[in-house]
Amino acid sequence: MSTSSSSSKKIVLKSADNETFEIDEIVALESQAIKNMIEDECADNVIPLGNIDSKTLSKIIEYCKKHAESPKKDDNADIDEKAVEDLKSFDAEFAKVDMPLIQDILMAANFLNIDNLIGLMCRTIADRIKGKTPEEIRKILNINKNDLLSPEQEAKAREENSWAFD
Amino acid sequence: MKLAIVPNYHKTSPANSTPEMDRKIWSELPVEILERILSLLPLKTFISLRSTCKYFHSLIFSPLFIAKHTNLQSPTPFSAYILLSHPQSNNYLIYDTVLNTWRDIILPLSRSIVHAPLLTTATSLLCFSAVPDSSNSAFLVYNLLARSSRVIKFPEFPFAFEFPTLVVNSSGYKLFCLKSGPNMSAYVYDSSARDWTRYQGFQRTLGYTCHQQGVHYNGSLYFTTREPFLVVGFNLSTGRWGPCEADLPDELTFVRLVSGNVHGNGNGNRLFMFGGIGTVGISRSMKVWELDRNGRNWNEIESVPELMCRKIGSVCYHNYEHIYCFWHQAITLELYTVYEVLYDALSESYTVYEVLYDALGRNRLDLYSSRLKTHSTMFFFCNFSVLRVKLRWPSEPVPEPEPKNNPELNPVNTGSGEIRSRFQGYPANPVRFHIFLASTGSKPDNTSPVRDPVLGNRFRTGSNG
Repeated sequence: MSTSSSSSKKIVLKSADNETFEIDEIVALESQAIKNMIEDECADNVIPLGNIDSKTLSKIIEYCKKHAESPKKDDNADIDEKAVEDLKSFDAEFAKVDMPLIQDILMAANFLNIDNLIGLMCRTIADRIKGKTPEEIRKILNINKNDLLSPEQEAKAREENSWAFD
Repeated sequence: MKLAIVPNYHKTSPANSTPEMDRKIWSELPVEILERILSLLPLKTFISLRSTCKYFHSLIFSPLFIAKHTNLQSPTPFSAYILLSHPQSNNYLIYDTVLNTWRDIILPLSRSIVHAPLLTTATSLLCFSAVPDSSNSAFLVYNLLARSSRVIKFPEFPFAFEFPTLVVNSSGYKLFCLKSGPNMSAYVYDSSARDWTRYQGFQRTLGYTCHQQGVHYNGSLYFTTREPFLVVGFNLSTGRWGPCEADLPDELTFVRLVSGNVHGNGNGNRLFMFGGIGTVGISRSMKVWELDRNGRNWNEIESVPELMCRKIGSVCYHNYEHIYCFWHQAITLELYTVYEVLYDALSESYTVYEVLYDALGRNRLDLYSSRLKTHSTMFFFCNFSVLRVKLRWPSEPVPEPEPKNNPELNPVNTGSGEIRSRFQGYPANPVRFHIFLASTGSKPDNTSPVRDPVLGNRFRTGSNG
């Protein structure tokens, strides 16, 4: 079987809810996990992703498409700054989603091993909670009520925080 | 079946997840990812996060977590704080090397305890000899960052212990002690099992002649004997003693072991040996060796310059009992109360020893040197004061001489009043320094010199001596 990565070759991804996405192989190669599978010739044309729902998957494909199209940094030393800026603003727009989706994307990107996307999601989460109070962080991160500290523990933690770095 | 994708890493299907988020997704995230997020946070947020939920509370500042972050190679390394203690004082001071300020720490000792000597430290864990029920029967382990503590009862009474050593591991920490007396044995306390284990067989291998705290390397504590020199390891999980396979170099006059975490992958991942080579106890040269990965050979990696070697010889008069080595981003050597950086395994270069020596003069009582935060700033504790010296590395070009009042070049001596007032009345020499590290998250501005907010440059040495 041929594993040539000609741009015409298509890969089909199937989400947990059985939706299929046909994409160029070059786009799929943004995922290190899929790349490894293709290289090891252990991927059929349809790759089932039993743990990623279609909403998350379509976001991830959107990201991979854009990044696959953009010139890579190591391809060419003098890529024009416009392309870099363009990608930056794409990333910024891309990250404007709610926290549950960010978490899903992060988990899926980790699973698919898309390092840039993991980095983007980590930065997004960090930016959202930066400088926030514990209450605000709890809200932003949707922390389950059952996971909260006991009032004593929290009082203790607060006391520590006041010491920690005024 | 050709496909290697494992289905369902989510416990609940994301497709029907609800906005109120009943899934515990944060604890499902791989720790590496979480650490990546945490590494982007300023310390204040980092600490706020700790009080948001049980998971973050238990994760952040656990001993392992701190050990992982005590790595200068990480993108946002924890910065170092230096703890000063004195065996005769119950004052403890912390020096923040980033903010360049002192702060007190209040230890969780009960009021009845007048004094609890600090025995050993590991990352942010401090181990005291505590007296919880005034029967002199326990250790107290205190996590300085998490501010939690635990009383560890002695395994037996009376318990005459030696070489207490804390080692941080994946499940918490272990406290190792040797019990001296006619029935010598090793005792290891495991923080997750909350219990002591006694191991015999110590006498056969090591005799009475070890003279340094154990050095942690690859799950074992290593000791050196007095002549004939022998390196002996104690496996912390099996409790077995065994000699190190590698043959020691010939004509050794003294040996000290140091374990170092050069690239920060785990605890103590390289074992170094510092020693002298010579005859009849007089060292012709001093060298640094490293144990190879298989543990079969000591590879010589550095030879101490002759000048430095002569200086060390003249300080210790070829009595090597008082040489003590420890690791802090470099192998640091303590001779009586003199500390010098000897070998810097990271840049594999020597520090500009002469610059330091001249800057400090010959009247120093206590020096502490370490390479902290930036690769070129060192901190010295000299005669109850802190000296901050900007160093050049040998590979860097020597800059043009600058005006004398440039604080970058002239050592700025700060905080001396502070230390003096705390430790006044105690002999200067046994002040001990311990290092613990904490994240600062945001990187400090390394380009501008940090001045003591109170003292400013008032204590600048050099021109006014």
